[in-house]
Amino acid sequence: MFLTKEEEKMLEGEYGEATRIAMRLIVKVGEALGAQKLINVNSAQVSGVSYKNIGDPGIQFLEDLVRSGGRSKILSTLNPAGMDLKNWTMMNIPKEFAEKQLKIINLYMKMDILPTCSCIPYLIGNSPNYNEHIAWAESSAVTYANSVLGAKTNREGGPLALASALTGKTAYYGLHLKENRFPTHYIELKTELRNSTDYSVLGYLVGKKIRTGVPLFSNPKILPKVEDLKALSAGLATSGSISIFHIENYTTEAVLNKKQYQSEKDHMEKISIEEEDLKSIFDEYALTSNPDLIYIGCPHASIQEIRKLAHMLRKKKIKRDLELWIGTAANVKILADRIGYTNIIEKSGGRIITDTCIVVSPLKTLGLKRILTNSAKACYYLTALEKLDVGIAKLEDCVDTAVRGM
Amino acid sequence: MCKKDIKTIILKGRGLVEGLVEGTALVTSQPISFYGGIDPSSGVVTERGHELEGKTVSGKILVFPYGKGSTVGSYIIYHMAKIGTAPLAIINVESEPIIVTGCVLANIPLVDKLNKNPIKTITTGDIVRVDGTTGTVFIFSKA
Repeated sequence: MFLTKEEEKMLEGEYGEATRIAMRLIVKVGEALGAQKLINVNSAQVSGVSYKNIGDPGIQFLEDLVRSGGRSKILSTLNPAGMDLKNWTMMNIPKEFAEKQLKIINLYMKMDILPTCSCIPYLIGNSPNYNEHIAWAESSAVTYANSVLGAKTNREGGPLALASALTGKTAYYGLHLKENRFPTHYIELKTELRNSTDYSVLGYLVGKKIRTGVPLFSNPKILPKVEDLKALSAGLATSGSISIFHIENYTTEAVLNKKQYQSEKDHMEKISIEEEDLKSIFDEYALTSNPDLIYIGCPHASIQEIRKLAHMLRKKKIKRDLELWIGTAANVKILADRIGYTNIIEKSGGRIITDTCIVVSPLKTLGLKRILTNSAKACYYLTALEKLDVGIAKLEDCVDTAVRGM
Repeated sequence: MCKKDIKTIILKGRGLVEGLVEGTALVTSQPISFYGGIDPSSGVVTERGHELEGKTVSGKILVFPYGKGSTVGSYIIYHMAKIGTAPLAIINVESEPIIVTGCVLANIPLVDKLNKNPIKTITTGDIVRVDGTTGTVFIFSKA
């Protein structure tokens, strides 16, 4: 692999032991993947934050890095943790878990990595521009950044994204190269997509059908909003190893390369999505009795989603044996607190939890068994990893169930 | 063992992580997830129905196609090396980032892309020497 003089110095330890370890990791993995050189990245999104996931081995690694002087060279943000960092007692988190979780966050902060603890970095201050190279973990954010923002990143694992944070470098391969971003499948939408849950299900369905590749969606009648694209990104990355999509006449690269996409369309594999296809997923994840918990916020809820929820929950009461949790980033909640959305939601019996997501929190210890959510990604992981009974419904129906039961 | 009873095979491949070690091979045709699939404190494979279920990978030359599962697996390999339960070396058909990352962090010699399929060429119990610097694998099997 070709390295600049500066990169060689980093690799030889002239900038300290942590930089050397991180650089060695990037070079070795880059070599294994056939990269010819490294490139600079402007931001990192680091996964491997929840104590439930990384455990004591992860803590040990982070401690070693901090001890050897690890400091982020670029804007770096964190994925969700295993609990609300402030109100963890409210979530019934065991004390030992909480202590270890806070220790992990402190170790990252010592390396100058921001404790955003969210899967929507692009809505809370880590928002790259078109053509910017970045190194992100968190599959839904990777897909959003590539597809909607036009930034360039591979789907990094936790340790590699961290190594990029500490060096400002990544290996030049995969989705950093223009030719790998070209559509391979044409997805003809033969059904209306009415809300973000439909987009979530669409993503999950297409990921399941094509597994890998770059889907180009036909232009939907109603143009998708941020929340719809967030849901589509998460769905695609859950059931497949898809990290980029395009929408005809809508997403940046599809607009810029319109002619080329049009002329190559005949060579792409074609799939059409009908109303029944979407319905099959709603049928796959259907609850027959009341859930213990209704969860909104996979990926984390935007301020617009919280606004909608507050409007729907005004002067309503959530059924006594049900819980409604809304997961978001701490700085999104500050806005909700200020304008009074949090108050409305809490008065109805719901709560906003920050810094975490139910997929990475120790759900079993919380005694929850049956969950209703508006996210196909949450459905998949809670079923596969936690063996819970999970149902999917659009936002309005989730609120309706919370207030009236099933 | 008498020398003439031993058949030596030399394979050439890609050295991904440096180091020269010799040990006993443990071979599987199935991918391995270090996160959730192996108990790090003992090095025993715990994945239900895995060919190696119940076998320990500690101190072995572990031969498998490629890694699978969460990237947390890299931290598990690192941890196992620290507490002495890690494999001595790893030979893959083709390595992916989880295994490469774990071996780089833990300084475990790693070789892949050999000129012959290591899963078919190496048998569990063979004595194997792995040179991660040159990407060479010496197999000393009983003739």
